[in-house]
Amino acid sequence: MNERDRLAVRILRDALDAEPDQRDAFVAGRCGDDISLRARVAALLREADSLDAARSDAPAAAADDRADALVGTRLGPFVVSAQIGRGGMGVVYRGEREDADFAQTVAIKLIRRGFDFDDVAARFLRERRILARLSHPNLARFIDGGVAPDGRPWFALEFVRGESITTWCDRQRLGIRARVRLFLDVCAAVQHAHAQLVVHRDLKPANVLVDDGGQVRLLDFGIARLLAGDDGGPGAQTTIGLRYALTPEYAAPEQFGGETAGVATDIYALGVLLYQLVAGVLPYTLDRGDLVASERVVRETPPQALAAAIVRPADAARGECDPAGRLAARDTTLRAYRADVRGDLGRIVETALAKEPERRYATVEAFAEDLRRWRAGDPVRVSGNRLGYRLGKFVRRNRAAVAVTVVLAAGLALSSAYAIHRAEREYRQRVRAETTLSFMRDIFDANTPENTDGEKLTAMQLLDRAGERIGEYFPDDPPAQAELSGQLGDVYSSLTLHERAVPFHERAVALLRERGDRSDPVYLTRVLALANAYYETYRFDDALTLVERDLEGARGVEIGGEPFYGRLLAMRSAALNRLGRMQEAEAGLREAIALYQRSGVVASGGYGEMLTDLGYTLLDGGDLDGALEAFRSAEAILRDAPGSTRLQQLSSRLNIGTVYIRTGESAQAVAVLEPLIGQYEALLGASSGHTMTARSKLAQAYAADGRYVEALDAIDANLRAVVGSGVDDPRDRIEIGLVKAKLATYALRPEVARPLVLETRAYIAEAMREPSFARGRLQWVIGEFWLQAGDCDAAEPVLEAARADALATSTEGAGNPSVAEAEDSLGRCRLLRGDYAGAREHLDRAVATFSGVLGADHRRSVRSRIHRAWVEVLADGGAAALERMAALRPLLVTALGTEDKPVVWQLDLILDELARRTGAAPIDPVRRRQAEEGLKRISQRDQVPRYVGINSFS
Amino acid sequence: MSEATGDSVTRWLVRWREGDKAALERLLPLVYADLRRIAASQLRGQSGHTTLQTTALVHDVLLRLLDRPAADFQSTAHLLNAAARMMRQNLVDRARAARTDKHGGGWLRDDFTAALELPIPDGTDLAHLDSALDELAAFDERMAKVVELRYFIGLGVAEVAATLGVAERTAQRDWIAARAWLKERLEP
Repeated sequence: MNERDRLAVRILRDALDAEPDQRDAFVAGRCGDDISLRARVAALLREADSLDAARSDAPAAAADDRADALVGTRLGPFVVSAQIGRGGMGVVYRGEREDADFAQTVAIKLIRRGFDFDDVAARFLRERRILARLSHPNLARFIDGGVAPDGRPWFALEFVRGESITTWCDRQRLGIRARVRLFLDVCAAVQHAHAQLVVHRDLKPANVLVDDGGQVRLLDFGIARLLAGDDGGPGAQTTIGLRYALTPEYAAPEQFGGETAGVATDIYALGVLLYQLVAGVLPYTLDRGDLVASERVVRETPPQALAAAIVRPADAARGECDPAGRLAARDTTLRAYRADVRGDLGRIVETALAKEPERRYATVEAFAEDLRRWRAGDPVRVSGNRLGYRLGKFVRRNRAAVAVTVVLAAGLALSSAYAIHRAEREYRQRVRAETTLSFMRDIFDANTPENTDGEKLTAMQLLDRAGERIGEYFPDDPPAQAELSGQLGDVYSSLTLHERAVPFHERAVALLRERGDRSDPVYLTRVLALANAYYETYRFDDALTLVERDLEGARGVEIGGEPFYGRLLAMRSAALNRLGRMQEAEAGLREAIALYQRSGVVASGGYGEMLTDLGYTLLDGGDLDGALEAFRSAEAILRDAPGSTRLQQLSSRLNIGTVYIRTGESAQAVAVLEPLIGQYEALLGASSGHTMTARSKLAQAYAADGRYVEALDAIDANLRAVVGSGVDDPRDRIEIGLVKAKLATYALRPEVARPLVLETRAYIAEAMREPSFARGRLQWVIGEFWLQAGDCDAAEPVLEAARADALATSTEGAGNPSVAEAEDSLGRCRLLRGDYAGAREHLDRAVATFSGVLGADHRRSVRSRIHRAWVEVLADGGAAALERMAALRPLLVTALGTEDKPVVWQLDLILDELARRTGAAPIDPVRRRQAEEGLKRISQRDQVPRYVGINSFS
Repeated sequence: MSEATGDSVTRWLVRWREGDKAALERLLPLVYADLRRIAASQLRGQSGHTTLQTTALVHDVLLRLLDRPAADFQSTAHLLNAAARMMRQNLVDRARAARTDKHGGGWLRDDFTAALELPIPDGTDLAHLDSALDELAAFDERMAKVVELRYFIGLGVAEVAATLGVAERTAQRDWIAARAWLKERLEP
């Protein structure tokens, strides 16, 4: 391979890593003026793209028995068990997930090739959180999704055994009223989804099933949207829409013109479905093969009246029954049928099927309400979407209305300007803001494209545009401009788009500042919001400068009864903390706390949070006793404070447990944390991030306490929660998975750890390119796994990398327990290789660090001292060296408070083996038996497994 | 591994050990099918009695083929890499030998190669492929490994990724890039 070859292949390979739409620019950038190289790479890329599109993972020669290579493989947590169908969307498989106490059958849809998968995958990742929120008895639950090894996106839905609603009704010989009754369940499900701001976009009988229990179950909600795309230009939508997402029989007239589907198109599709349920035929006769003719019919022809449709001859190609059969399937006669459908029912269907979206029902609720009235014999309203129609006209006439809507959205999105509990509140606000925005997107995209000069706006563009024009709306009203700017800033902040929020907050602060009142609560609230936005964008200096500038003005100002000066002080401390000025941060918090104490509003959530912040600051600074005291005070305050939430109370106890883990008082940590899990589950559900954090802390406490089996159970509960939540962030899975790998390694069960370690190794290589504390930790666990497997070739490089990351992220240099942990492992690698000099060096450093930071008799120090003594026994082989090693056992037992722990068992068996080898007296046979039985029990093996040294406590 | 396959692997193994060279041609396809199963079960994170037994058998065959000490295979990845390397050598040698009589060195589907179920495109010149892979390996070893594991054991991309310890996406892109280049290189 010559140099040009190398260069071309390198650029090709790197281009494949670039986003598809940026590849050309990437290639152009790398090739510069070298036209021939550029042409060569372009040719290679074309070749690669065609290979990617044509590729099949199954070898061509084995087409038959491996025709469906997916069966038997795994997609996410599911094993694909059989192909159960093919459809326009792609192939459908049955998948099974089987854990020890958790079995689940799902329908897995693998999306057909033919368009840009990377784009679909990206959109999917964005939207599935919204889909996972859908939960209604008439909706098949969206469970999980991801990207298959060959790049095709897949979705797992609850597996529904049933048949399409039209077939089921015919087979049950359901009368018209019973059909409408059943259809109302369909409406309820669609309504639920619309309330969550998810539109279906592909409603048709095949997606509306009736299950074995006679219950309506809708499939594929929101999936079509993932495929159709909202973010591309109008052209892309049209082509994809026509090629893919459009089922002509159920498509609304405007969809043929490439309009985006929305609430109005779902209502139209529901109208077609109702028509079909009632009359047994479609509203129009369409030629499926001829999209152009279909479009003309759908756009121009009014639907045939229901009364006449029942006698329309059957279209055999569609599997329709003849008129007599249709009447029989409805358990009715022609006369009775016509009496049913004349009048209101016909008008209701016509309203749903109106050609102009604004003449249709505005909501599914209105549609369903008319059907209920019809069933009850009440007069129906069939008013159509008058409000929507009027609103559309209004928006078209008055662009300011767009801004009004944005401000409404802001009001919805926010309950207060500043959140101390940033993470959780932000999450809640983000969900609300996302919801609001996607709602706006649907409304504006689907119903009123004209108001934007023919260009469809995403909600974000809408927001941006509103921001640009604030001055136009309120030219002479700076306070109103400040208010609107501040609110827009809040919306961006709620969406965690803090970068974008900053200019709006800055503008609000600047405008209000011109008015000169530095003690104005509105002004101070805005200052705090801006400081918070700076903080969130890592501009800690700016946050500090801003707060300090206005700190004096806040003296004496009370907002909500609390001294605002204290809140600014707490904000300042947060910034100081991040700037490494820990003492000042601590002093500021103490001053704020004292201020609250003097003002007597100590029974407040805000005060409790300050104590919590103080606890974190002390914890960061290594003052564990101080942190424990602060967290205990916070817990006491929050337990009784009238405004405190249950979540705050639980978090305060979790913090106490965390400190106990840090101090190594693992039994106390278990005692504090164990009761919390059930309370978190009851409050937030099993899959909430808080519940999972609590479980993982408890697992940590169990592990430190040597209770690996309980720890593994807690971690497995978390892994189930991650997959069961339908929100499957790979990073979550990796990090939890590796904790599990660590525990499994401690429990001497490499078969459990191995796949998790392999997965993590791949993830690190792919997604964690920068040194970080987390990466160091993950690598240490991987290294410890290989070490325990006896593979020092694999262990040493990754342990070196772990040590390098720990050093890079250490504030105290090499004198850091994470560094020492890696040294201990590296020392044991050297020992395993028989390099005693090398082992001494590593273990000396580990002992020095642990002893220096934690004290010589801390269990982590004692453990490394034992390993160090072990080296001497192996190097020297003398009885004296063995005695010195054995003399450390009582220290370990004292540090643990008991000898009934796995690490003591591990030590005892090492001592026993060394004694036998050196010809000394073996250990007490009772002790030996206990150790052997104990290790067999935790590893679930018949024989004592191999291990290298005694387990870490970290 | 089903009992039946297990039996025939053992039977061919015994005959091969006894000096029946033809037995190797019957043995290897069975061993390679097992290798793929091992790779797949590694991917799925499953391990159990059957897999361990299968792995032990495959180890046995390969160790004898490669005349290596037992300690050489420390992991399934080692095993798969060695097996791919061995099969590549074996097939290239066969192709070279065939070239001297009539076939011209192309990848041909005789009974043996068909039984291996390898996804090597028909008509590939194995000697050229071999040297092209050497060049590729000198430049980007992982890309060459991906091709080797795909072509010479027949692993899927996901299994290749698990074996090499990289993300599937990475293995897939390596695979595409390598193939695009190979295509250009082998079909001038």
